Amino acid sequence: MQQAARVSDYTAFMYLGKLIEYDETAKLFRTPQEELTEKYITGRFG
Amino acid sequence: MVRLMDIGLERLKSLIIEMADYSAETVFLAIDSYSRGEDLTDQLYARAQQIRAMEDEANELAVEIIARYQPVASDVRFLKSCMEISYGFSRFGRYAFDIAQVLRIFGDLSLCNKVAVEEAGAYAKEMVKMSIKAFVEKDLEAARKVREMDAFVDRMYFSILKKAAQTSDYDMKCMISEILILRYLERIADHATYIGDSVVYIISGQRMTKSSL
Repeated sequence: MQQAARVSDYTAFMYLGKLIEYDETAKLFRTPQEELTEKYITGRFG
Repeated sequence: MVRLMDIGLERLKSLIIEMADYSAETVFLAIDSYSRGEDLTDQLYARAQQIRAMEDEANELAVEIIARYQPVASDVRFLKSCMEISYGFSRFGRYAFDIAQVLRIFGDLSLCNKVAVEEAGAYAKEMVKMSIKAFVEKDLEAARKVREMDAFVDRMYFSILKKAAQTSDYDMKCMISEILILRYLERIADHATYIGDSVVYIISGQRMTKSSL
């Protein structure tokens, strides 16, 4: 995941076949809009 | 799911809360010492130094967590905000000492009209308490209320400044000491507001501006 943050300008988070969130990488990793995204990237599940 | 990073985050939160209570107590001591005409300069200097040491410890811990765990989202916002908030508390300590220094420099102020300073002091105390409540309880409403109260303290400070500029009938010692202490209270109020703003940022990722109210 840190690799994705380092190499990309945009990041999409997909879960169980659904697109949950898509945004500029910096924005998504700093202030994710979706709770599921927040939980995944902060390591609360997965 | 408990993460390894949570241990560090909890420790940092405890440290910030300890710092919050200690710096609030320091501010209240300074404001009360003005009302009573009591010289607490040495005691407040020691407390300000202690708060600075706690700020350094909080910053070191936050940086260590960032280096170890590469946190993102609400975690990185929390860590960034803890560094800003600990700076705010260290400024509380410094301004409390500055208030005490005014008393030491000017001596007996018992014949001065203390109403304006005491009123601003009461507001500053309430704002300090509310900014701490906002952080501890993640209370957005308390954070927004602190920002509203800041406007009152600013108005009081500027009205005293205008009065000083326009009148010739005053005691120099009383006027200068009043302006200095109001300035320090105004800065304490500003930092309480910034602490509230940091809480809003932790929770929502939103940066507060005047129009955000």
